[in-house]
Amino acid sequence: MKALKLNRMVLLLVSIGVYSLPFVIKNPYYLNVLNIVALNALVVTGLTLLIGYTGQISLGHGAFYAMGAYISGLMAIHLGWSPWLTTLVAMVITAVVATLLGIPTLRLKGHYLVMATLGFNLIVFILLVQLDNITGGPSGLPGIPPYTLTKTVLATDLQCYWLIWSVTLAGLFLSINLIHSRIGRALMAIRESEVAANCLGIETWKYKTKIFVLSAVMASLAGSLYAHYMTFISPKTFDIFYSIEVVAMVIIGGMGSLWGALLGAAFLTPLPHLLHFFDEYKDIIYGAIFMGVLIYSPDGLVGELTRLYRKRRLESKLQEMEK
Amino acid sequence: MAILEVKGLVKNYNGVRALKGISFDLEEGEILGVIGPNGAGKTTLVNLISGIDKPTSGEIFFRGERVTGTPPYRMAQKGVARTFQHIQIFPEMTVLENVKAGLHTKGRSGFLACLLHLPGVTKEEDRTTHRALEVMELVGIRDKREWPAAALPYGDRKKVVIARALVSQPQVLMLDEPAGGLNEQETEEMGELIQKLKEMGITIMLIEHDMDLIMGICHRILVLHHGERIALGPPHRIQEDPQVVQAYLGEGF
Repeated sequence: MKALKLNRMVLLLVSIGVYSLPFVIKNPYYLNVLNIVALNALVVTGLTLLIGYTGQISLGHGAFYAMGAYISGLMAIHLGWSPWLTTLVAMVITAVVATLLGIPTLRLKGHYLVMATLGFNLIVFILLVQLDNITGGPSGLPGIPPYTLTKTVLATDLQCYWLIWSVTLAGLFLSINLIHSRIGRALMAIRESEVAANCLGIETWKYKTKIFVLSAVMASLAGSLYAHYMTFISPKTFDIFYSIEVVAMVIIGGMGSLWGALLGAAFLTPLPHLLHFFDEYKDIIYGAIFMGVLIYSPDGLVGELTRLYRKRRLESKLQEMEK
Repeated sequence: MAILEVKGLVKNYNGVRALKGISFDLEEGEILGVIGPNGAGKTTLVNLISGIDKPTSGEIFFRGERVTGTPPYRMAQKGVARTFQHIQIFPEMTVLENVKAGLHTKGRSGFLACLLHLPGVTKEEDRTTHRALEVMELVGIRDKREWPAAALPYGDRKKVVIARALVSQPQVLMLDEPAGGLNEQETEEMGELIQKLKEMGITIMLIEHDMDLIMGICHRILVLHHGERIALGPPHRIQEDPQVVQAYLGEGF
């Protein structure tokens, strides 16, 4: 119970920080980067539940991100429905697809989910490119209507900042609740020893499927937010490299913690932008930073921060004892 | 009355016959010891009853109901719990979390309720913690509640997994070598604990190599050898059984 309260306190502090940032940062380019950070953080939060807490790996969340973006975008364009409604419809469709993908693969022992999701991502990407009379093909889908609130159109980066970050923080809030509950314990038990979890009465395949579907739905929601925020989408955003990038964010942030999701997204999303003046060397440097974090801090950024905090506390205690 | 009936259980692994038609009854309230040299099929037997493996043939009945091939989580829900020879602790969870995970079947909060953390969830969580601490007190690990399980000494880990299996108040508890790797004093404590569990009304099936422990606390002993049942009876009779002496205790006796 103490851990739940502590995490909620941290979330409150983070929220205060998030909501006061736009009063300091006015530049729309920076706001755009921050919005993408939030969208990635939402995807990575779901993935942290799946990978970090349940121990199941997906390399296809780019496809669920794409489903959210394209289903919601296309329905809003062609049917003229409200983007809020199409976002919900996309989440439902994604949930159904993820269930159909998860049930057969998660019943099996071993890492079949990795292969299934990888294959699914490749199929979705090919469909986005090839079905150009529907999706607009490689040149993308323009003219997606933005969200409207009462009569205000949420068109600027700042307006979307409030919306996107609120959704991401809500996602974190729900995930924190889940982790500190009987279900969260069941998920961790599955990660630690699936056979022991099963023998304690935990229907492991059911929980694995549920958390996989939840993470897919969170990616779908992020995709819809992306589509109606950017108003233009193209397949390149949703390729297999996106799926790898979000998994990298889970690992770099620190797998065992939801705060790792936020840190991983906040660290890796702007990195290519920061490195752009290295031109053609930027991928090498990106890779080197990645490897550096993994070698020197295998528990990720959260692990490193916890260690620093413990060390500081120990030092101050030692100083007190000397006095 | 038999709480568990095992009839003609056979298990083949890729042509190797690990069990060759084992039959026995587990009487309600007893401690049944299962002994036999390595490879006799003791763990296979527990795996078949707990549902981890399906038997090649034969039947298992729990309180008269046919449960052959029932998946492990269903067996646990019915009240048949087990521990593992290789402990299978949840290393990165705390001791308290380990034991609380054992109460999964007693919880009612669903996925949505947990996401939203509805008021009922807090109440249930408090009850779960309370019950887990009670059992941790019983096995003697309460003072280590916040330790990560991986940091515990070996003997304490064994206590954690017993607490984890015990906390849901199972009707049958199968212990796979609970004293394996323990020193003399710890083994003695383990024996006392197992007897306490029996007094709480739990029927126990005890796989063990430690003869003093087995002979000291079991009502009956089932002896397996090369996947076959070679004897079943009270300790004094097993000790005198010429077949057991030859097959199990070796030529030195």
